[in-house]
Amino acid sequence: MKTLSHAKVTHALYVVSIMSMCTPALFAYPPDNAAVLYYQASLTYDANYPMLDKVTQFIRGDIGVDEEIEAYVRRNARAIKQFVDAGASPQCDWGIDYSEGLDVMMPQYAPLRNIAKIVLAEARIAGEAGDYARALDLCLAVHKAGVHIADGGIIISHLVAISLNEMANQCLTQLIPHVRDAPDLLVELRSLILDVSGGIPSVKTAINRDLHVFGGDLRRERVGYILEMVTDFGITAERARIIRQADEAFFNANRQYFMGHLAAVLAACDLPYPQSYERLVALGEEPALESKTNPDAILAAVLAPAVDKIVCLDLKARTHFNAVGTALNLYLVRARTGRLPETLPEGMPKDLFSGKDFEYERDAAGFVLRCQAKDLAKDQTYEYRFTFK
Amino acid sequence: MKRHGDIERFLKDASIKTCDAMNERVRGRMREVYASSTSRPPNVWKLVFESRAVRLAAAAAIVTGTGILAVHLVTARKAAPVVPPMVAKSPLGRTTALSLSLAYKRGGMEAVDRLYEKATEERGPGPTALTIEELIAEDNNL
Repeated sequence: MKTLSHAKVTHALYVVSIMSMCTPALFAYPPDNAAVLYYQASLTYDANYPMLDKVTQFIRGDIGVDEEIEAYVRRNARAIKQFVDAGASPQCDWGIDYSEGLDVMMPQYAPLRNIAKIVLAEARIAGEAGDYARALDLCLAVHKAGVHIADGGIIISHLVAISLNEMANQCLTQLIPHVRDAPDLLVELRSLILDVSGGIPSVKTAINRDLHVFGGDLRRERVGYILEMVTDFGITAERARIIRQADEAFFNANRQYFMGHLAAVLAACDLPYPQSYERLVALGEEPALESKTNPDAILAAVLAPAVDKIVCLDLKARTHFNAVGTALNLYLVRARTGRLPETLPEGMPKDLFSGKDFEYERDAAGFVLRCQAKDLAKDQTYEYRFTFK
Repeated sequence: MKRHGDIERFLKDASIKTCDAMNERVRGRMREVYASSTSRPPNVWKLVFESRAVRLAAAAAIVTGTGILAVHLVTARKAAPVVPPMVAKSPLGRTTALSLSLAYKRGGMEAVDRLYEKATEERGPGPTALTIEELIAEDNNL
């Protein structure tokens, strides 16, 4: 007690305790906001486009790994680390100011897609080297980035996000057979896949945000920017003249039409898949047809997104997640019992195009999960092959 | 061209003092010139435009022609492509919600990638590593 009463010792104790309290806060890593790391990664990665093409072919399985790809992946080690660490952050705020309306700056989506490809290339390299835990972590990091990008985004954010999820699921499909005999790893992976797929917001949320960001900003004051954009992306001189010379009443009427159109689109999204698709196709054609006689539809004809295709892409990505989830269950049964079940167990994730279980077919090399209805936008029935090696 | 009588009167009224011989010589020359001028073939245009009806028809043709030219010019101006007002474009300024949305609508995710690729190329190389030595050297030069 006598020692504690000494002023110098007391001051020293204060300094030590303050420092011990502050240090974790000062050096907290990863930061609470994942976007900080994604932005850093997009600034530090090596944007070598010919190499990125090669990496894309590699992760698709079109070509094998070579020294050039390995060297390129090593060169991007820092960006890969930032991208993977970002997945561990609890939140992701991209700092998008949607009140800016039509010309709101969006995050660096293409660089993020490129980094995701490099991350998946490293996952494949790690898988080929037998480091499956690392490979699976890298695939999951890409999935988490997808969730971070889609969260709070507009349609384009959602599309970028599901493109990342699709790439990661393709990579996982190649890796899972290598961990088929490790039930613990399969269980953990199944749980993580469930978490990630459940974290992707509904496509309707993204459409709704588009409606407010775009629709709310169709104003006379924005004519310069609107014209600049639509001229770049193809519009007849006559339409451009109408927009340029339009008064406030034209913009009010067009804004109302645009909002009404997207409200109808949102309602159509709630219908069961085949009806929903048919209704969305009809709605997608409406503004272009109507704008020939009704000038109120001119801006919607140019700016309204092709929601029919977007909804199909969303279903495709979610169905792929469900196929991977179902496959993990089947691998797990095989790991525990030594053989695949004859039929699909109850309560498996569904094929979202048909709303039914996947069609399940076994053969000597593995098994196939097949959708029971077509993707009507592409007139294609998807099937997912899983092997034992 | 003055008439013959006018020439005689002009010479009488002219306040120029000359001798008779000189007067006669000048008068003779002027008569020669007048005679040669009257012997020229008649001017066709003058003959044609002497008619009032022809003058009216010519005026109507000019008015109609000018009208047609004006209408053609106005129509041509309307059909010409509208040049949008100049808006400053920074490379990354292209990666807005609207431009990305339109790019996707036109060419899918590849078109979005190309838009970023172009913007990145125009922006130039990204930041490079900066050393403390470089910062100190820069500070000393300021």
